[in-house]
Amino acid sequence: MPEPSTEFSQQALTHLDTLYSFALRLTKRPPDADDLVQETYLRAFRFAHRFEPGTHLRAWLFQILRNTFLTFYRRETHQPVLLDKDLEDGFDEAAPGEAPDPAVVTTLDLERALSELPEDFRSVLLLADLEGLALHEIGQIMDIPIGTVKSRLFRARRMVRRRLADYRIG
Amino acid sequence: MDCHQAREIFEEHRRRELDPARAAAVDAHLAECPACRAAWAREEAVSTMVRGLPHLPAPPVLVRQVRALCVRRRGIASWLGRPWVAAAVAAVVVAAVLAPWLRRPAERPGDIVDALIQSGVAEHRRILLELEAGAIVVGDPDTLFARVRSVSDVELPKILAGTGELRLLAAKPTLLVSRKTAAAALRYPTSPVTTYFILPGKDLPMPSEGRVQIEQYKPHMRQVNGFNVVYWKQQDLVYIMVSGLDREGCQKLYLKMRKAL
Repeated sequence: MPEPSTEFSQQALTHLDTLYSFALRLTKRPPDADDLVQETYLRAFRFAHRFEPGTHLRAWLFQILRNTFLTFYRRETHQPVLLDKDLEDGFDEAAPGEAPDPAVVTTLDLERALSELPEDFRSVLLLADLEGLALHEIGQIMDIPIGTVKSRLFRARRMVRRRLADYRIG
Repeated sequence: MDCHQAREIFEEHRRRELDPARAAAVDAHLAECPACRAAWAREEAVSTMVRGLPHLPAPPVLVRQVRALCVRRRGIASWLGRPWVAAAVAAVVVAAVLAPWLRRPAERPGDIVDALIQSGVAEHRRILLELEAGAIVVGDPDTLFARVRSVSDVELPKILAGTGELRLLAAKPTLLVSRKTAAAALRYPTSPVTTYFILPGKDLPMPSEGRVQIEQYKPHMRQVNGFNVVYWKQQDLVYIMVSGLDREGCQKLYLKMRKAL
């Protein structure tokens, strides 16, 4: 099997912090995040010859990481349950006041709200807003059409808003 | 552009993926539609907060482990990339052809063995965490082993159900480098846990490096992340033993198992 080039390895290593961050928010446990990242790099180096130069290496690494997560961890991880209100369809017609005020919401509240989202929604939101990946790249990573990426993103943000509102009331 | 059309492409607009004409059309709609402006603002508020989340740096130990992984994989390849090394290698190859009495250099253990061992150690650590959390309940070994076999296609030998003071703590099907594997964790009272991984190994190599003579056997042995690892082949199966025991204890346990298998 061909060895990865030095350039490939060095470029892959520049994404270590980003991948670890994502892994930690997926697994929610540091030891699992460590293992997940190591497994991701093992696979990336092993399959480096399959990477198409000119495409986005970061997106490719995210794809390997998420697939590895689904294979090894998801079965063992308690999946958050969708609330009834999460399943409502259509435009969110709530009053503008429902939009959370970033000045009031703490990072801890936001992390908690994110951790309560089902993985499919959490991943889309993190990849889109935190990592700034293009919609087609997210579709590739999650293996879903762009339309589904957009609807999950919309619903994920709505779930976050509602959870943040619940914390305020609580 | 109506509300539905505008909201359909809000996300592309937010990410600047629209061409200038369509972006201008969305802006024009937003300027004249308070409901869509409010919807845009609600989305934008969450998006802004998530964008502001910190990236959590990888722990130094993990950075070292991943870098080591990278160096180990490309070690020989990068040396071969240097012209003088390539020339030297070519000379050695020619000499080997011309002088067949020269001994061939030791064969490098396959990368797949490295990957399996790393994966086994990671799985062993997961099992330790699960045991610590009380997340594993061992019932009747026969039933458990049958369930493991039905998923992994690998039969766990009876000896792994425990003997005397050696007690079975967990048995499960798992994957090592995408290969179906059966795993069983055991320990003596007050001793560290040892996990055995068994997988079909007809196509897997036996590394010539790192071999240790233990009585009549010569398994591959190494230390990974503080655990002693023993790798051997027996019939068509590969066995990987990952243990918190010290080297001597690990060798004794290996011998006990090897003889019983």
